Amino acid sequence: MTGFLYAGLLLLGGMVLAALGELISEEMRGWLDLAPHAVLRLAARRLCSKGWSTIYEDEWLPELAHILRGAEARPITRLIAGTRFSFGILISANRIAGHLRRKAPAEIPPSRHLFQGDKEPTRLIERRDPDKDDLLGLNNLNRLPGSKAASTIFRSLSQESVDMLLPSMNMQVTHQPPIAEAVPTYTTDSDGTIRLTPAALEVRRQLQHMADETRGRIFGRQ
Amino acid sequence: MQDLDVTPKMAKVLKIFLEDPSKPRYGFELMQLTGFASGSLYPMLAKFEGAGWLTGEKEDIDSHAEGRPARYTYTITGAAVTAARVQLAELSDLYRPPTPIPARLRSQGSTS
Repeated sequence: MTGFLYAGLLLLGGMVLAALGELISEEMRGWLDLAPHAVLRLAARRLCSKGWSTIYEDEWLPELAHILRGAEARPITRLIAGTRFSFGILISANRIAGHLRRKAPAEIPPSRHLFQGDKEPTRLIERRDPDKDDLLGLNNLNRLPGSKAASTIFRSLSQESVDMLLPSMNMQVTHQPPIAEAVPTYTTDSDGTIRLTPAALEVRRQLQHMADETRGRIFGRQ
Repeated sequence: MQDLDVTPKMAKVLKIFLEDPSKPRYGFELMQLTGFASGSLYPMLAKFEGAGWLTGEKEDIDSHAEGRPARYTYTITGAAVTAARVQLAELSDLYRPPTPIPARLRSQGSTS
């Protein structure tokens, strides 16, 4: 009887130890993944450039995520591959900074990122090449007069384009790339302020009018 | 586009872009293809991009659907394709070993 009791206790203890080992291993795996990220963040801080956040978030982080993902389920390989990548960047950060020409969102003062209110319903967007980013063909809005143009263009948009445009239009922070890509139609004032054209604003108004019908479908999907 | 003095290491990167000039390349992919560490490759890419030889852009993907963040890709510009071909040809000439002169011709040359 006592033998059975000891066997049961041993089995239970073994199971608890196994579960504990798994938990510790999982915890360690999480901590190990943090090391390459920490090194990469340090590298980004060494850039001493306005473009640091752009290159860090747009390029280095996704690449590191890809590297760590590629070596999935092998924590030591992940640690070595990720840290090797991050340390390489850290060592060469100064040289990268010397060549960096990318424009950062921070080049536009923070106050310009937001809506100016109903009296001045303008949206300030990142400086980009309008033709290159005109995924929806909205540059044509500039060549046609007012709301009629907007209606014409808007009707010609595919549902897919509307799906893409609508969430972008509803975002509050305007330096996000989707907005620059979706709505490249802008003008630049004499003081350097970048604004959407009246025609593009008309498209936005129409899209917001449509929002009630499509919001559930679009945002329900996310 | 600025002129660049292409080193043999830079040539190795350019050669990959020239294999298919329209194909966008990832940084890590280039690391694997060239065997360069990130510390060598990324300054080079920044230099190429800064000089207008490469253009970079984020992938056009739905991060939620793909389950990964959009990666940054590099593509060689049209003008850089021509410049890179010229520079690679020049480097190739520079590093080509001299053709050995056969002993028979060398001795004939020395007697005349």
